[in-house]
Amino acid sequence: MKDKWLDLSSRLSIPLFILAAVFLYYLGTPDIVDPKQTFYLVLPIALLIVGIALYLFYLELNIWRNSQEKEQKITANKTSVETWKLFLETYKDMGKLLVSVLGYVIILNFLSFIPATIIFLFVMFFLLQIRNKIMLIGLPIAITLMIFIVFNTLLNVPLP
Amino acid sequence: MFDLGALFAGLEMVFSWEALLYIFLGMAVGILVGAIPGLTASTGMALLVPITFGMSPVNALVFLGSVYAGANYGGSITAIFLNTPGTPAATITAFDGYPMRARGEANRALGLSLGSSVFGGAISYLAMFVIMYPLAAFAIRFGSPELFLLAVLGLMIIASLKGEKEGGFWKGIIVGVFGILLGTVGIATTGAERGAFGYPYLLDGIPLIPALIGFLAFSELMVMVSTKDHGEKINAKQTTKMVWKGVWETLKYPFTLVYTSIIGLIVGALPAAGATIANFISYNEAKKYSRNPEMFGKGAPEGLIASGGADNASTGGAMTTMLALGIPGSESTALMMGAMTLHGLTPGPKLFIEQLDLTYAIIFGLLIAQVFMLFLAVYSGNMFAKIVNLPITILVPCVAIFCVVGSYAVRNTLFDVFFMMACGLIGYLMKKNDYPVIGVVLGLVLGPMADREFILTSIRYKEDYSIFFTRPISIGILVLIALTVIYPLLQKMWNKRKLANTWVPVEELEQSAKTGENI
Repeated sequence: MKDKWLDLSSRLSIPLFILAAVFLYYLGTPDIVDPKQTFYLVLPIALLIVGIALYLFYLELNIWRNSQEKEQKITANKTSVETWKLFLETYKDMGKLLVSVLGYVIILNFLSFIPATIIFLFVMFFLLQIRNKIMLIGLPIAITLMIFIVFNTLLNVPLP
Repeated sequence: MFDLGALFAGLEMVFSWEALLYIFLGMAVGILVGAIPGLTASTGMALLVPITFGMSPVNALVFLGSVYAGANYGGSITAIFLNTPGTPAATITAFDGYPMRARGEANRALGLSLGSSVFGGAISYLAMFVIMYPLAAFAIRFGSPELFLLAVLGLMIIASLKGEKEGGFWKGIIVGVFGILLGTVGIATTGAERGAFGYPYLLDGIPLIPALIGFLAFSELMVMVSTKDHGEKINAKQTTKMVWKGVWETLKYPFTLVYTSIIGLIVGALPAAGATIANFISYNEAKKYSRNPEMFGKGAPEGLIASGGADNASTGGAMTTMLALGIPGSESTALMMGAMTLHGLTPGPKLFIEQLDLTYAIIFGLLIAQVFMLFLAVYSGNMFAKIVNLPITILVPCVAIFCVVGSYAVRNTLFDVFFMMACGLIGYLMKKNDYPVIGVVLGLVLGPMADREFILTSIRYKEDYSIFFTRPISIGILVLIALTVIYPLLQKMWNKRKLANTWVPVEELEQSAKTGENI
């Protein structure tokens, strides 16, 4: 039964995102849609929410299915919170990357390229379990300077 | 047939020290990118397009072309040493390369793969040199109805090729539509604003290069990090003499070499087909005509030659379609198109009228790249192996910086960087759910073309759409479109019928039921 829901939610979520994107597209087209009409704003947001909900539902069921397949003791008896802990564990490194890059882009606004990049590399290396002090400090400086020289000096590519 | 003036001008362009240096660098970077599992030719090119801003158009295009060709060969290094293809196209190389390595013949396998890649590439670029001008001369007769149908053909092929997995056809259509939707954001040919919310950064359209970096490179980084695939290390040492021996051995199989290269060239020229399909087809064909078909999959030299030759020859085919018709044959050529647009060039038949010398320069540059590939791969193999062994913990942050810098460099705005990240997240979700990212990429590139040409057809022919069915070239393209829809269905029916007609003796069935083995 859970498998049936798993397939259905995985099949529906992405098309729903695309549908939401289609409505958003129309919302951003003044010749077709009057943005003041709230219906046009509500529809894509509702579709997005349903799509995200279905996708999260799919992820939770998928984790449940995988854990059943591996015959681990995490089964349907486990609470939803515990299943989500497993989910967060699975996507932890991806989340670290996304948040770090987001943070990097934000601090680029305040600091210039060199200090922001050194900080970003230091944080990323630390998060990815590099513990050697020389590598943690030396590598970010060396890599940043190398990128700066190659892009800015040799290739004339503008840096943030 | 050949404009000698343009030909010599092209030679002059490519034989400058700058162009030669960029070909060399592009080849070195390409081999590295291809050899690192997880990074494909298109990922590498997406990251490298922004660094070509400061280059002249010729240098930029020969640099990217060299990366493209180099990455296609690079994928075979890890396929042979680790049984882990660096690129999807190198999967076939692992079939015979890895068993050869297990027999202690890694250098021979490397030489065979390298030799066939170089010869396959050279054959395809020479063919490109001969075919391209007549093809462009024919394509110059295309009007807006034909160009619209050509874009539709490119989009239809995505759906038909991705129909192998369950729901693949619809997944291809869905992502294709999404790509077209993104591609048509901004001010249309009619002057109307679409999907931009009046936001100035979107009025010019979706920023193509940041979008491609996001979909192809940033999403791949997320996959690499989330799968925690830190990979094995290459421990074997490369012996120059043995590699050369392998290269020369390639020439002992001239029929396989030429035949599979031609297959690679033709399949590569089909929109959305690419090197992987070319490799599969040529491997099967080589096995069919081999004197020792039983050796395939156990370390057959012909198997390696078939995959290496077709792999690199497909780049020439894809480049021909892109340059002569303005239709990208793969993600990598879509990126080349993006790079050409950035340098003020429009791929397609007009390029041959306006800048024939540049087109010749690109072809010569790619031919020279094959020579560089030969020497680079033979003499720097051990150095490449060391860099490929770089841990993912160092590689990922560095590539992430390239993504950020590359997205920023196009218009010097952080909006593009955020947009790249959003595309990366969408690309990651798509990869996780088996939606073909190439569909969005081609939709992004072909969508605006289809949109523009359709509007122009409507205006020019006063909304008389029968024009699509009355012009001979249009009808030809319509037939091709119909074939791309019908052929996979016919193939499915044919396979079903073949399976139903397969006669299996009762004894064999009983034996199979006892042992549990497949017949």
